[in-house]
Amino acid sequence: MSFVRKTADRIAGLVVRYASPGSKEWAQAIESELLYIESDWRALGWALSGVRVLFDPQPAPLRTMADLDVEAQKHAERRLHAVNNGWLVTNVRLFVPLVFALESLVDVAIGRHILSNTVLLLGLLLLAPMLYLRTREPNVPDRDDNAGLVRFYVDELSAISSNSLTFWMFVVGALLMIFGFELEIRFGWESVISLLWLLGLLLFLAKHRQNRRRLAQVEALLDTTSDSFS
Amino acid sequence: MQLRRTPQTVQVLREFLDAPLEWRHGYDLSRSSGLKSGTLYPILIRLTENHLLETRWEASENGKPPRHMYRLTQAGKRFARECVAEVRNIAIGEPVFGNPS
Repeated sequence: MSFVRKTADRIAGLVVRYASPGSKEWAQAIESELLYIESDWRALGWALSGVRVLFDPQPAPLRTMADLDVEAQKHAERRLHAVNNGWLVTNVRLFVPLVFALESLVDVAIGRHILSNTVLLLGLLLLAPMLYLRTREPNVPDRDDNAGLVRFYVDELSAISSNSLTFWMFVVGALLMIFGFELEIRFGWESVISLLWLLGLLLFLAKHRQNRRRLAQVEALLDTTSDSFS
Repeated sequence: MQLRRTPQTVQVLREFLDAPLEWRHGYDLSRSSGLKSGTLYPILIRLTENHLLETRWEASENGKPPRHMYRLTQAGKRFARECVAEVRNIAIGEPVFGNPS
């Protein structure tokens, strides 16, 4: 086996290993095709192009209503767990922005870094609606009520994955907050904090995309099921 | 149905419509459509998620690994014909050098 062919095999193997649960089967499909491609260079091109599957994470497939029921149950349990955590743990994510808001308010009051603190405060203000929605206690249906649990799951997915005004306020707010913070520090190791926030925002956007895909899967499954009943 | 009708998606659907009853494999589709694996497979994933495509693994006899095969479902065939016709209508209706006035 040539070096080029070996490299192609290795790349395809890595893609299979690190593919998301929903893309695993597809990564295996790309890998299995390699042996049917006669030219080594074409095989390398095929494997290299397949790396893109890694950057397109997919949630695990939902094939039957039973899969959907299990997923809805899991979601309900997670939400109940969040409720049982109590007020302090549920609202802990509000404390960090609150501390930053108070600090910025004090800075503005004493006339220090007025521009950067105003931008930061504006950003925090835009974050507020999404943070409030995320910390609200959900009304989770009973464990035996399968239809109710699925409805609850779909409603929550629709709410958190829609490109609503709250979502865009959150994105703009987070960017303003990062920009305001950068304006204040200019240079130095504190830039790491902005980078971490940026990373957090990117993770949030990736999760948002994942939720949209899951909702599309659920809707497609529900459509097919209703078609087969009608 | 949340499926973007990109030119590449329509291209893949057109390939399937050429032989709607046949099971096709990825490399074959890639060669006939000119799409690379990184473009082709995300499209196949989305089509399958929307239940427009059915998939199966076909065992090979000569010791090679099984191949992932694809075929349009009934809904897929309807959707593919719709998409291809839509693109054809747009192409016929659109003047090449802007609106005649």
